[in-house]
Amino acid sequence: MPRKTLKDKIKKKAALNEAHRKDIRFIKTIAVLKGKGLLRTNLPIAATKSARLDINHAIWAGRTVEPRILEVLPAAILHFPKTFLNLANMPPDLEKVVKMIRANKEDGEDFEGIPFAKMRHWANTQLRDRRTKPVETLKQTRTFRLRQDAIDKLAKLVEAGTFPDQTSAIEAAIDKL
Amino acid sequence: MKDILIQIFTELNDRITQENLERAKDGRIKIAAFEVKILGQATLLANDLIAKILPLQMTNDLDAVFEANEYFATHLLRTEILPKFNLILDPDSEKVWIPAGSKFEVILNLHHLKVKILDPESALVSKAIKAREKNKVLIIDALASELFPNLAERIEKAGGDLDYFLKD
Repeated sequence: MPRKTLKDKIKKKAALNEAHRKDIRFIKTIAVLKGKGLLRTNLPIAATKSARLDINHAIWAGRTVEPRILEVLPAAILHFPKTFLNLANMPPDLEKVVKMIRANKEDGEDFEGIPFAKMRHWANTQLRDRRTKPVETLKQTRTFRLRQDAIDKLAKLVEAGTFPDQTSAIEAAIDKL
Repeated sequence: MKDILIQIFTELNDRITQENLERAKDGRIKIAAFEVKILGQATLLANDLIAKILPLQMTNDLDAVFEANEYFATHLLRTEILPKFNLILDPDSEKVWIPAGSKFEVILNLHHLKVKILDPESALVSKAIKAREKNKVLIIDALASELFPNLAERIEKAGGDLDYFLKD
């Protein structure tokens, strides 16, 4: 492509990028993700902690302007589901990614060219607020039928102060396997 | 970002001073002075001129390569210093490709460590070649800014395809 044509095309595309950055869908997405401590920007966009964000607007902003939005989006959905509107209408491939991360799966499919490992990484990273726990450390409910002697032993270990609770005793035993 | 990097590495330098005093008391080997190279998006945000002109977003990972495999320093950064700034050390920092002709600018020169940042044009070439999907908008904005007269040529020379960035 001749240099002059290339330069004109670049200028045109940059003007479109600039217009996209002024779109409320992008501004709101950045404000929310900045407020949640998942993304930083040098644009003069104030962080917000309380605004609600349409999931489709966040996806648009990620696809059109800043793919890093898509990188942290599953983490935002998992940690702050109440922030998002229309979660029930999220694309099936994103829903699958979220489910795989929630289930603590090592591998999963990419979303819009973003590797699964990257999205999983942010969901498992401790956030600044310290209240939001990495997904892989979240406890899940399981039901087991144990022998009476095992139940008695667990109770004794907690009574003796060896473990704060029976779950911790079971987890310690599993760690030793 | 430059301020944040300065705060992070000044604290690291101070902690090494304390550690070396302890080690001297115990007769242990002191931590030798070393160099840290900052790569990735942080280099663009840490450059005052670039950060004023290019719109930049960054996730919370810092790409930093240590000249020496300094366990004390990297461990301290990972576990204590970077979390204060809501940052994590990218474990894949060593994999960041540094193009030929790259230059590094010293932003901090302390007793125990020297911090250098990759020049922005080289950081952009690296992104255009190794992570073009994630940096499509950034590369167009950088080319249009005319701040980097050699960017297009360097991308093509490194095997990059400028047409890719123009596609919808």
